Amino acid sequence: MLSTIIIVAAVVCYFVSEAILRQYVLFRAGTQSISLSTVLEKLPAEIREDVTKRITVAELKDQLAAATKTGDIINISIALAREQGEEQLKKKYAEIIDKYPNAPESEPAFAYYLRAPKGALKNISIPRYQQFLKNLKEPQLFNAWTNGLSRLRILNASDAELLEYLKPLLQAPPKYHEYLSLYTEITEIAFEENVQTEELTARKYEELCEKLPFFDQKLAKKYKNMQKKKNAKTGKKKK
Amino acid sequence: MVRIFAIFEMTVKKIKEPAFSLLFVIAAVIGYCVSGMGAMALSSNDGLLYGLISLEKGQPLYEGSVVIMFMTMIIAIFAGATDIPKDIDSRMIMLILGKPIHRIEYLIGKYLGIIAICFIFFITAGITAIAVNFGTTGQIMPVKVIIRQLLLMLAVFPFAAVTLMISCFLSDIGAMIIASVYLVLSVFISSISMFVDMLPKSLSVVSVVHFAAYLFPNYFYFFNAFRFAGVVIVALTLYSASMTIIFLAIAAHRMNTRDMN
Repeated sequence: MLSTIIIVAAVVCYFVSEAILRQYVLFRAGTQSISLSTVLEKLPAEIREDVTKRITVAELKDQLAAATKTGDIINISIALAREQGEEQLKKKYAEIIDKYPNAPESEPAFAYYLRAPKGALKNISIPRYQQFLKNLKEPQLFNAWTNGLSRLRILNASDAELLEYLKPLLQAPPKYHEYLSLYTEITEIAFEENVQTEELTARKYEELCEKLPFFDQKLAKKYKNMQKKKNAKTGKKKK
Repeated sequence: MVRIFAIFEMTVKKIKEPAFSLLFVIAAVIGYCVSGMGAMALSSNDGLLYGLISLEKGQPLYEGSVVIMFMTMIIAIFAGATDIPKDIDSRMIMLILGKPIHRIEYLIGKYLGIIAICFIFFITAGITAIAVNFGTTGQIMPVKVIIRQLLLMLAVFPFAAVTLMISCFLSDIGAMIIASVYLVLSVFISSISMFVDMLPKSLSVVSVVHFAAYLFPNYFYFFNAFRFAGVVIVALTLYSASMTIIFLAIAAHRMNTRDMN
């Protein structure tokens, strides 16, 4: 009886002490920041890529499990699906469109299925894509416009379709220099299509774009002003 | 208790044999050779080892002590793996167990005897190293530092128990080989399990490696730096003691069920 108690106590002590020591070593290893890449570098080249990929996938799975914000969930899901292969990515994009139709982070999914061929899991029409773009803010909005345009070009869309896609840009004057390339695009297409009103408006906005600042410049200026205001406030307080 | 002590005394008496006397001369020579070695230090260039052993904060661990500890482990293999098989082969065990001594008492006595031999070896080498160091540098090693080196013996306790346990199943040569292989596997599996802990938890390999790691002592724990008053030293002592008890319990079970004829 006594020997059983001693053995059971020893087993319990073994697991408890092992857990404490393991956590201690891991905590210390964390502070020493052991580099995973240095260990992976020592692996043979044939398996290194595979192991690295597995680790990346596992890391993303852990991050996904820990993510709480919608934007983070979408971004990590996409990154994970990208690692898992083309088929998985297609499924994930379709799932994201269904689950998060208004989230700005869903933009790659919308761009991927923009005017997708028949038989694809989803098909996003040009008006539906334009409607989605209303959820976005700069600089994501500009990226979404260019991504959509690239997608249409890959699909060999006609000039008329390209013009239909870019037309909403003519409804309001641009705010940033980046849009110059898009207006140049519209000007050229409109010229080809012989649509004078659109061509003239596009030319006008093209010229306007050249005078406008880049998004980064405007952001830097805004940040500088904010800093100035902050400094002024703290200065007043000190006085 | 007296019966355990009798077996213990019988085991330790071996020291008087010329082969064992030579061993202590070797211990003194090793102590002399390692006396010049400095404190252990690991850098990020040491790769995985740098993550497994943290030497910051706490008393320094001397490279010489680590060498002495490994030599002590070799002694543990020689003494632990050969004692019981020899007693069985020479039928000495029948003579001992014919007296009012339980098999478990015999086992504990043997274990304590082996530990005593290892301890004497460790101390002989250690004292020589400290004395030579004092002779050459004129500096006395602080007591705390000496205690830290002595704590390395905690790793020898479970290892001697493993060797003794294996020797209850196999012949002396077989036990020596298996004990050595087990030691190498322990180091390998422990480092893999610690490395795996640094990987993302989603990897399915994690639980498998953890399960395997529980079957082998993690000797890296004994090299980490720690404060003398804290949870870690308690956990380390418990870890060493619990493993020793588990291995001795397996050995005792084998002794009780084994036919000694």
